[in-house]
Amino acid sequence: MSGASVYAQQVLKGTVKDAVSRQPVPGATVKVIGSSKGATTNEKGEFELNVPVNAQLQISSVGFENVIVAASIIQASPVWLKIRAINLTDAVVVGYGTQQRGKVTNAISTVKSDALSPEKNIASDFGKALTGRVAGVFVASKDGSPGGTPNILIRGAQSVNAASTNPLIVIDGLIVEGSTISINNINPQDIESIEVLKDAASVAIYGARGSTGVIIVTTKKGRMNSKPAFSINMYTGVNNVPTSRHMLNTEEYSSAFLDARNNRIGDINTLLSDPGNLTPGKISQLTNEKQTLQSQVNGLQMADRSTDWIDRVKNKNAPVNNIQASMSGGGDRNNYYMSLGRYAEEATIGTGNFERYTGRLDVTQQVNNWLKINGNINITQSVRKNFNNPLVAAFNARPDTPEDPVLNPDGSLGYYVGQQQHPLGVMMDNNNKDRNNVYLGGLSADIKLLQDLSFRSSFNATKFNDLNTVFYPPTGYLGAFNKGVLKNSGVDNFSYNFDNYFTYTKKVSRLGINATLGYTFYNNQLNYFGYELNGFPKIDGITGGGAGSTYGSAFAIGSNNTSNKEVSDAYFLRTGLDWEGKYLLNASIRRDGSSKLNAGNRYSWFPAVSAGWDIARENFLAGSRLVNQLKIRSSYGISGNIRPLGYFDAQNLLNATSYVNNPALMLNTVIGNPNIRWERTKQVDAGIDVSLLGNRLTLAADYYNKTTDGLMSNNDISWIYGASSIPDNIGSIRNYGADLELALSSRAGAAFSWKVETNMNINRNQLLSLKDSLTTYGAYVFGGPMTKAKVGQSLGSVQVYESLGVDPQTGDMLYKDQNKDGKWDNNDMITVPVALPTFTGGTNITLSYKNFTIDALFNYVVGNKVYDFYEQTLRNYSPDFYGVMPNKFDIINKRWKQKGDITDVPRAITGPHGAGQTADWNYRPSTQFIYNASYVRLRNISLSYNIPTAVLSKVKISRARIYASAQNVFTITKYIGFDPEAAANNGIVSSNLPNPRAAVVGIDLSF
Amino acid sequence: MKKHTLLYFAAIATISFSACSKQLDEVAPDTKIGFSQLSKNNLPLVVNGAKLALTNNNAFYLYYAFQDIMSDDFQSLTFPTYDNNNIAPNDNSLPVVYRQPYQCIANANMVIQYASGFPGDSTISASLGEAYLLRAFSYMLLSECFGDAAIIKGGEDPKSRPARSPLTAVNQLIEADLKAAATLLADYTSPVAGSKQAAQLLLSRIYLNQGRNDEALAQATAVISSGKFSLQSNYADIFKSQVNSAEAVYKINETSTSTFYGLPAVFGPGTYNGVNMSGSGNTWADSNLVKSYEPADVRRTCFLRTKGAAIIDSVYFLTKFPAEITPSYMVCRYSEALLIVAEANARKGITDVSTYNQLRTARKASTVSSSDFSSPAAFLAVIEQERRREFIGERLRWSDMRRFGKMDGWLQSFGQPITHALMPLPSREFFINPDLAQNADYSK
Repeated sequence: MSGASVYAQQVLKGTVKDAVSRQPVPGATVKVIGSSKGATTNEKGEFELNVPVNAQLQISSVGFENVIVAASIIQASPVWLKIRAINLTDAVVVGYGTQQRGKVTNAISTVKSDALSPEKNIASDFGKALTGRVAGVFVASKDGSPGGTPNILIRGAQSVNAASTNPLIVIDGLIVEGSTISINNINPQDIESIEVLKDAASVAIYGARGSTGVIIVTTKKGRMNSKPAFSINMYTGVNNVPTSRHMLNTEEYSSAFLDARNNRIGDINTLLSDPGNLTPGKISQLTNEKQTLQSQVNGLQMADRSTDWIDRVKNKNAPVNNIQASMSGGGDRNNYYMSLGRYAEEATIGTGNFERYTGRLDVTQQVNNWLKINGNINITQSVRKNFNNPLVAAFNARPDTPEDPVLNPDGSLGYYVGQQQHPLGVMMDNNNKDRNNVYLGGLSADIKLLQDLSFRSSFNATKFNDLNTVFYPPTGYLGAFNKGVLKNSGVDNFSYNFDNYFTYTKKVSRLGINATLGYTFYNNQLNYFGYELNGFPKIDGITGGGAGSTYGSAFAIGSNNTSNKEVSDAYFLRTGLDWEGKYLLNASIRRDGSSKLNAGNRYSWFPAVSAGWDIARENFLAGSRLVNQLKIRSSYGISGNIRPLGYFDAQNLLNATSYVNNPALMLNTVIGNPNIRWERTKQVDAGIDVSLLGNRLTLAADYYNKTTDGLMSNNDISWIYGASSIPDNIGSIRNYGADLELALSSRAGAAFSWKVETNMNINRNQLLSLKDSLTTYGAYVFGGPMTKAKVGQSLGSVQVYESLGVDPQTGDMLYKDQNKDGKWDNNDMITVPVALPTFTGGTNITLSYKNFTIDALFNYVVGNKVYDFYEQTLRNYSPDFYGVMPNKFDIINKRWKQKGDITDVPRAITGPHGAGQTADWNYRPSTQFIYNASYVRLRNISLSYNIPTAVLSKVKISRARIYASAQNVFTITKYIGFDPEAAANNGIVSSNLPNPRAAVVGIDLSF
Repeated sequence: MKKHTLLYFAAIATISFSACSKQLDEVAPDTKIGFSQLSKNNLPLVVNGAKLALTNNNAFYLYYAFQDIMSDDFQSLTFPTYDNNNIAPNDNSLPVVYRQPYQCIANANMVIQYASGFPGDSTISASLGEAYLLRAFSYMLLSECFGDAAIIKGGEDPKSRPARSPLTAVNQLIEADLKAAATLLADYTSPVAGSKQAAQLLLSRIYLNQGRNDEALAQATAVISSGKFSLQSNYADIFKSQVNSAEAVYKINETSTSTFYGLPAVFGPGTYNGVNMSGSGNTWADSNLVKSYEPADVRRTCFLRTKGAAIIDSVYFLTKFPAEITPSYMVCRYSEALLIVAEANARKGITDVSTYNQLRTARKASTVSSSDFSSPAAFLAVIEQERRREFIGERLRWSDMRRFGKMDGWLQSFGQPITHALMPLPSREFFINPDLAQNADYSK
């Protein structure tokens, strides 16, 4: 494959290959120095060029170092291109433009398409691909439900509300916020690169929406002057539940049930044994209670069978499949990219599957020397259907419940005990289908006005339509009381942003100048609609709305049918100066306004400034083989956030709704706050970018400190006002810490090559102040702990009693009486931060030998905890609302049984007990239900093999790769539940599905 | 050409930009209105909003029933802490008891505040009167459950944290509101609308509970002599939301999501032994009370004897409330006026059995004569039992136990302090206002 013949002024043939993978590099630019001649390599990395014998060729390709070689030596061997860890001339996408990597003075991390490849991210969205890849980006999938998207936190959290802490997503200039577009509406394999903007100076250009960080997604485009390339990548595999926990079996359940009642009878007998202290009324009542307890004991009839219901509701080896075909290429004045993809996965617990089709088309045409037009459209259809998460029913079900649901004579679902729902019966109520169609599109024109001045006008829009149909048959649990229910609800969302800006680029002597000035307008309309139908016949197969006989309850009319709108606009200006690329200075300012705010508080300014010095370019280091880059940089800026504020929450409003089929006006349960204003985050960042040993060792380190003031939140107010909350700027919060990214790779061209990349983030989150010291900041789970933040502590705390363990004498819980007043109440609760980790990171190891590559990604999360809500709830030994004592986790088998037992699980008991003599004493929210949720996980491991080109050329395939890959392979953690990652963002675990363990095999072909 | 293009684009941009900015002022909701849009015409809608607030969250059936579960009329394994009068402040079901009446008050206050700008305007007196009636009823719910209550009349700063007002002040407000309602509201036409008689009957109830027997008698007599009501042969109809029985004085209907909810969900037998009805099967009526109905008594048919869900024995379940998608909750009804007349007289030392017999006759039960009783106190004991038989499940028993002196002994029999006659305020309120007083012998 090497270069062949050289004749004076004759055709030169050569090949360009990747020095690490030893694979051809298609699309590399080969330029004859000193002339305008050039060529682009084809899919096999080959090029052909007419050159003089003594020519010097410059070979460049995105992601690789430039190479200058004499034409005369090309005959001997392929040109090896070395991957650049930091590509100094690469374009980095920033808001409203691009910058050269070498001139960037901000904390921006880039994730290339390689990390988004299907084998490295067996998931439907690109968010999960960021797990453990970027310093300072914490990704957690709160639920392993198919098609579920993760929470993403960049450099800590400002809010307890997940929607308010996720970063702003910008897809090819399209602002995705406030709309219903989810990160899984775009196929990860259509993405060329993801830039994560972390510091204030880079996000400030998105001003009002940037304070939680910005993720800029750039999709794949065709290359001009390249041959058509057609690729197919597909995999198939299975998902499984990686861990398990177990419920009590029948014998253990009976024992817990009887213990709880016999222990209470024992307590009553002790009381009755000294009747002198008791009134006759009390004696009669205790006797009565004892009789009722005895009646429950006598009434417990357990069948001789036992089912592990958690195991029974698992969907083992749930299929997961992906296929993507793409076509790209370009002529000398245009380029195109098109793709089609399908992703499908099934739930690993219960039922349900997610299926997504994506289609993308992107075309760019250079119309003439001053006008370039780009148009792109992305069409996605996602269907989530037959979903049912039966975990709660599996937790509750008595273990002797028969395998098959009990049926009534008319075929409807009955109950085995009480009104307890059979887990498989619950799973039958899965006749649902949620289909959304998403259109993302953009049309832009780049106009060259003058030599140095250009104008860009870009219109980007999203259209989201969702139709969710749920049918509960009249024979099922949920439909029985309405003779069947069909719920149709939908979302109609249209949003667009229209950006117009001028860009000025000029080089005056050694001074580089660039400036951007523009205006953006954003409009988002979000409408919901829906209705219900009742009265269906009990006939198999009848599930359509037309079979209903009445419209359903008017109850949901108000919540099903709403419309929202937000309009905002901004002016922005950014200027950048550099002196020989050595001294760098950037500044920007943006003025934002949003219709969510009242006119007086509507507009706010968001400025930023940053500077850098690349010491490696100073004379004393220039030409050093050791130091390739040594850049120190710093930035400061202000950015904003308005997401926590409801569309109309700056106003006091009455809801027009209905009361028993008549119109009604009812006060909004959110009281309006006309004084609410922008939340603003000030961030300072100091960083260093180092590249050593011919770019084999690279390091980027950042220290940051960001303070958010005017923290925007819905503040709980007393229920006496007939409302529950009021939005307010309640206080200030600080996130500070450090990001570190480090990469070390082997020498280029070695047969055995390797690369180790690691990244880590240390973040400290601290609530600095609250306007009102009594303000609560968090969401309340009734019966569970109050989630609350306390000044001086991290966000995402739970307020609980401090457990002192189980009293070996009585078997009841002991709680610390913090104020020593002999009572146990709110004043004795402590706030325990749980939700936020203090240390996160990941390590990726790539090993290549000849045609084999192994890639492994570990991620680690340290310092966070989870509060296990069901562990607490199921400690109640009384019958629940359905008349049955719910089953319990098998940790109960360790419970206290007799005097002297040393254990951390209290005795089984009903009725008043413990020092507080309350029925809930042993399962009050306390530290006993808080578990350490730190973990290390082998997030992904993949092995791939490149089939040698010699084999492929016979079958006209330019590239073929086969791979096997596994995700969430193992997790090291102390948490006893399913998955320490699968917790709500406030750190509370309830019936969250664990993230699946996937195993797939696949193939990647290019023609 | 280039320079022209530049000018052209700059001009377009400038024009379009300034036009766009104005749009920020034009965004307005389409299912919400500002307070300034409130008018005389839409005031009745706010009254509907107040009723919606009372029943909102589909939870009226729970908090309507809790005091009956606390009383001797019912035993419940579903709500053991209510049954045993030792409710945890962080109980799951407790918040609605506190929250919904206050939400109703906030909406009623909107009407009352708006109307204060139009004193004496007869076109809004129906709305204003019913707002007073609903506010009074809400404060009755609150004071019966919690005792002292923060008084909210509208216009307070929602971030302020007022202390609870003493029960006497709450009672004064209730009385004043009911009197205002009785003045403003017209005579009874339907139980789903507020009426003069509804206000009078509630006044009569609070007077009786406060020992003001003459006033109780006067108001109850006024209700009876209005001639708007009569005892009906079909007892079950009283509780149907879609039937306006001439016995029902005032009731609140609710839009539910299915026939599963409503009071049958609390009191129903569930699905045991071939029975297939709403309910958990774990909340049943006092068997001695059920056995005290005479065989011909029409009210006896409102019970079903079947096996309890979690116990081996058969017990009596109250089934007088129909399973409906718009369940109905009785605020007050005619027979209460009849029994208040009997009771107020008896408490004054007069044994007048006439209204008592009127009710008994309508219910096909035996009648009495005044000579049957050795003293008014003996008649009072009979009236108490008749009230239990007549009103079981209608949240009157807990106040009755207090008035008849049965409450303290009942609480003590559970080993509870007599202060547990009141429920605890829900925990959430202390997270917001740590200085708020909790009821005695409860933690915060």
